[in-house]
Amino acid sequence: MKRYRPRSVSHKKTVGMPVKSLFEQPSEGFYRLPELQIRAGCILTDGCRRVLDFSPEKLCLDMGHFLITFYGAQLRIESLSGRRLSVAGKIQRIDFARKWEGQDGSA
Amino acid sequence: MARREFRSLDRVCISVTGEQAQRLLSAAASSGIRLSKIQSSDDGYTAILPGRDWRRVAGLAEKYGLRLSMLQTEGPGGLVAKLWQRPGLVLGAILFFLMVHILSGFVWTIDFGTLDGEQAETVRAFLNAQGIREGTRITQELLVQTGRALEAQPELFGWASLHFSGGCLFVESTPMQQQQIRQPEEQTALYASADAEIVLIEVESGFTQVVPGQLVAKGQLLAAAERFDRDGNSVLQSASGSVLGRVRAEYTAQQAYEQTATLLTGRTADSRVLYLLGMEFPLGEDTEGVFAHAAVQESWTPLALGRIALPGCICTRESREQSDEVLQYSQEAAQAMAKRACMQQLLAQYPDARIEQQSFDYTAEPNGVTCRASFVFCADIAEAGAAQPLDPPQA
Repeated sequence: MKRYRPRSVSHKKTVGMPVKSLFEQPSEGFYRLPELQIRAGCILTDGCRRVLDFSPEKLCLDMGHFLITFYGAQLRIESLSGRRLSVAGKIQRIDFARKWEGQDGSA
Repeated sequence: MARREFRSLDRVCISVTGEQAQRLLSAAASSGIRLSKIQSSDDGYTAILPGRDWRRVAGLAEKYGLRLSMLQTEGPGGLVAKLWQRPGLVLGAILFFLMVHILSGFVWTIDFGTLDGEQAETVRAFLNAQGIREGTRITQELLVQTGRALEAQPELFGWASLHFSGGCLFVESTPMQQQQIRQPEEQTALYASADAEIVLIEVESGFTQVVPGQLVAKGQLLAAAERFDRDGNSVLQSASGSVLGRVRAEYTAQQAYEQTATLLTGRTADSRVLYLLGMEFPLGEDTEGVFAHAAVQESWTPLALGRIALPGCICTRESREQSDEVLQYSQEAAQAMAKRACMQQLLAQYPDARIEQQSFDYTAEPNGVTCRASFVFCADIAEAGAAQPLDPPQA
């Protein structure tokens, strides 16, 4: 599990924010959002449960509450160990969708 | 290189085909199998996985009804990977052969072959003088040099050789045999060495001039080297053999009551030196030069672990102090020593003497005892000498 360091909050930003907002709960499913990292030309995901579809042009991953689909060319899985998966190739588009509510958006 | 990384070098390239082949990816990943280089193909995909996970992946493929084939293998293999997991085995084997190669050049044991204890000690002392003992590193030059030096000792062996193999130094030798070479060109005759009565004649060659029971005088001809045939021609044959005669002889010896002799004082000093793998380690203090006069005796003890010889030995140098002291003999002791001196004179002159009668007469003097011994004994009285020409027979 990742540990996040408490970031120092600048005084200017906190001036206009109500103190109450600092103690509010994050939005629902905030911690269940998929996480992607770009490392050395690869996209690294942590939390991949299944590979739903795999072809040179399309790669669909089950990330729990979300489905992530990579579109492009010459797509390949550089490594897959546990729930860590790295995707390499020419990625043109990434679609994000809620698993149970249909398509949600794309990047 | 870490052990884990080394095992990952053993890789297998597989091809997975079948309906919904990607199911295997998730199952393998959740099982802890690390897949890499996964590329989609026409009816499936190819991937690379560590060789140690091949069996687990094959089981999963069979479970999901997929076809799994091995395309390529690379890496050091399972045996090397296992050996790498236990590097002590590899290092032990390398160290073993290295030590065998190095240590086989040292002398672990010396095999003296058929030599008895005294001869073995003599050879050991000779080898020690040449610098060879247990623990010495043998070179071919040293071996040849010592072998030649050993051959140059004719009083030790008839033939000797050194052979070094596998840490064992073999001393091969044959006993010395003395052979007298007669000079045929010299004409010798046998003469009596003392006044005697002839008892037995064992002349091997020549012409006997006496008969048993005959009394002969000192210098009398016993066996001639020449005789004349019927025609008066000289026949030459060098005389040899033995003539046993009964001799009466007297010997005189004197023994003083006081005599200066070198005696052991009872004080000893030991020093030990450990020779191991060509090195020398003194054990204790060096006792050389502690005593002004000392009898030194060296002994070698090869190192051994049970019945296993080790390349080393311990040289023990035992020094026993000696001093010159005046001995006081009683009259009886002086008489016994004088008698012994007379016997020694007899045996020195006739080593094969068989004493038939003996009598001793002692005369006490202020400083000692004089023994006059009279012996009647049988011994070989033949003494070889130059043959004298005989007078030709009268016509």
